[in-house]
Amino acid sequence: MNRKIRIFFLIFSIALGIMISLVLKNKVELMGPYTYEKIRNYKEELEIVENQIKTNDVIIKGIEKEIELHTDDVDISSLREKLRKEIFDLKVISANSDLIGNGIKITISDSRDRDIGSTKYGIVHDLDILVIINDLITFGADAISINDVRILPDSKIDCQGPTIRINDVVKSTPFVIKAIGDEEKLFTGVSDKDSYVNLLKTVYEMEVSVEKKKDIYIPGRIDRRV
Amino acid sequence: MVIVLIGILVGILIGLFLPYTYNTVYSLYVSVVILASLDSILGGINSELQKKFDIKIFLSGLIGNTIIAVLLTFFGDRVGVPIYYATIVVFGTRIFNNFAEIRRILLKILEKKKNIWYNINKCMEE
Repeated sequence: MNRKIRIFFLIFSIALGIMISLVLKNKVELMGPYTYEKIRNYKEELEIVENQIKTNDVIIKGIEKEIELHTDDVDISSLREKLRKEIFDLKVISANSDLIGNGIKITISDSRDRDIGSTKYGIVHDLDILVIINDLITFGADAISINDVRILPDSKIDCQGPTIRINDVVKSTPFVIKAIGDEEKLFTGVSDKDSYVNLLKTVYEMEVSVEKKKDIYIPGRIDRRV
Repeated sequence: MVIVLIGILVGILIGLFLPYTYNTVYSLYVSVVILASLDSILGGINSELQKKFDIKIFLSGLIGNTIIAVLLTFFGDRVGVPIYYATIVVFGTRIFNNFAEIRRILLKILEKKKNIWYNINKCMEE
């Protein structure tokens, strides 16, 4: 081999060696083929993680606020305000206070069709009311009442022949169910084509009306302690 | 061949002590460049053993191949199709081909040397 060429090869191979060692130093992960499915999966995973980060941020902010309230140099008035709000929330949950708010009103009465109305299918049953109440809770109702009897977490609805016993108070048709909450959500949920309310209306031909209302009044529980 | 091996070893040692590293984003390009240079160096050794080595051809091949490989990789990256596989396959095949030819030539040289020694020994005995 020519001497010049030898030197040339030596320099060139040294450069190659430097490059190889740089690659070895970097510890690059194995470059597998990235299919579209893999990319999509990674994207979905990323979205989930991002959402989690967002919710975590919200939680962290809430906790930070709470910490601020519990620090030594606490503002008494803000603490009082917070406690008042907490008491109000608890009252709402335990039905210890009357509520006024936007929501929906559902009126149900027995079928007027003679053929159906005279059978057991045309009568409003306790089960029908129960299903509607559960639907309303699912769609995020904050407070529900039937004929101005507040529904509690431990309420019971019983059949009493043509009437219904709610919280040991007997009520008869027409049943007026009021619910306070996100009115749009409640309305679309209840008046959906596949909803139970629509089933009562179309199949059993009961008299059912659903309407959005503002400033609905729902009383607190009867045996409440103020 | 030995020179190349020594050079690569020295280069690796130098590289390990160098404080500089490249961004991992470019690892694909660096790998392709390394493959192109390995292919060129083996091709150079092969042609040198066949007494056909021309530094112009060598350098133009090295630079041209490297540029085309990098461009193909870049284009594939942009389009979303792994075109760099083509460069890997082509350079890989050529490396093996070059090595096969080098091996044959070296074996022939070895055999010749052996024959010469054998003949010398025979002459000496006679």
